[in-house]
Amino acid sequence: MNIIDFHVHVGRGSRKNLSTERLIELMDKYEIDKCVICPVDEFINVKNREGNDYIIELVQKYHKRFYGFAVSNPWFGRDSIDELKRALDKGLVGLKIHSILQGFMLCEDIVDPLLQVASEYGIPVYAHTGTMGNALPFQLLELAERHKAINFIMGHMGHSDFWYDVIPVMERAENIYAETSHAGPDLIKSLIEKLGIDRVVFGSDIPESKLSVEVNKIKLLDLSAEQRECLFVSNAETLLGSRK
Amino acid sequence: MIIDFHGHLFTEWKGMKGMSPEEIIHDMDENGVIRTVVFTLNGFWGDFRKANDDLIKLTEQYRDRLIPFCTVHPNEIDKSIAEITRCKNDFGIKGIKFHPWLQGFSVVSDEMLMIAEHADRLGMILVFHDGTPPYCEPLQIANLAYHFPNLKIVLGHGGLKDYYIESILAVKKHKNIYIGTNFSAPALERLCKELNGSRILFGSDIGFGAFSLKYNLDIIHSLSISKQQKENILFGNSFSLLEN
Repeated sequence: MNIIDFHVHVGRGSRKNLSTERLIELMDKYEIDKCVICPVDEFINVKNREGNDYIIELVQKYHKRFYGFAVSNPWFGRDSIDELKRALDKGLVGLKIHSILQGFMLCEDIVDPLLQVASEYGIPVYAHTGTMGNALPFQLLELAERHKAINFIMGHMGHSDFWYDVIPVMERAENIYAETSHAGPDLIKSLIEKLGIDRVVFGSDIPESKLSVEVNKIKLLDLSAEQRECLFVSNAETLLGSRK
Repeated sequence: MIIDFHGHLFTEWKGMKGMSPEEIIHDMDENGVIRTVVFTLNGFWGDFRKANDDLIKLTEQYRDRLIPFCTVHPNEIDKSIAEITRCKNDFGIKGIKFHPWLQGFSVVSDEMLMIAEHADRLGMILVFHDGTPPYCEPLQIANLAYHFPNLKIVLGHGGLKDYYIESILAVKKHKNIYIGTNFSAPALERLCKELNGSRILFGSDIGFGAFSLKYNLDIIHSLSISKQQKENILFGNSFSLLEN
């Protein structure tokens, strides 16, 4: 199976570190055909241009293995819009927002101009969700209702304390997808039972998690071959293929 | 004339002596408060039926001044449904107070939805402690308002300090949400502007100490809002809600 891992951080930051070589080695080991990469740490909150350039370079070099998501901190105002457009024009295919690292409340209007750009380009938006309290699933619902043309990916499914919110939120917005990293298999299972398989995508969040753990927990779920195909491959392809 | 929509009447809590009904009424008289809605404290754990009986007994002689709201525990769903019916039919109780993190339940749980449905049927008001992660964010509570558009729901603290952004989104979206004033003055001014002074209910959280009524009234008096809006917050909004 040509698995797509929807969430990987690559590069060396103040906290995280995952080299390209190590990433490709892991992908090969666990049969991950492609993955969505985005920058780490300070490249998400302040050094956006540097972070995006790194991702752009990797995508150009390994275009058969990587999709790249851009980062752009909304506090940079007009500059953040320019930076996002620049990164998208150079081949990145999505936007990653991280309201905890970037310092705003996920539902705040400060992020709307960036989402407007995402909407114009037809790209998906990945949002980190979970504790702290400024990156919550119900805050993501507000964004999803304000920007109905955008497909949002609920990163980590509210892990951990906000797991209770995942299904109530997703049943209210067709344009929210769940990304499975860190979430427990029981929660993923009940989500699939309640809302079907069509809005669940596999993600590992390495180096913050282990690829083996993330792949194995999906295997526990006793999914049909067709369901696995959706979760590991085709749902991600749908999201990534929407760019105008 | 002032109505205080948020007080706690209890004899003792973890070794701390509560204010007596007479002491609360004395404070009310000194500050021009004609009525105070009072909740239990001890009832948020242990025997809630006994706590409701205690509160009803404590307020028995003063029902023109002290308006008791009952509480129940969603984790004991059958007992809760029966208790709500008893409080409404036998004692004319108009509302139910919840404290999700103290009581240990999520406001988006199935049990809470069942209670909300029952309260809706009986025309009772729901009041929540809100603003504290992970189980009582304003937008989580607003999910009840979404499912039961005729049910009157009060966010007791308007999101507390950090979650008023959620509160404002919640009241704008749901006409059946009301907001207690127990949060910062600048946030209150912003909220007041959004709602033109409607659906905001003065609440002091009286019962814990000597200063809460004065302190919270002072916040209201400090607001740069119209006289009419101030009167609505201090009296009119609560009066209409309690009389309907």
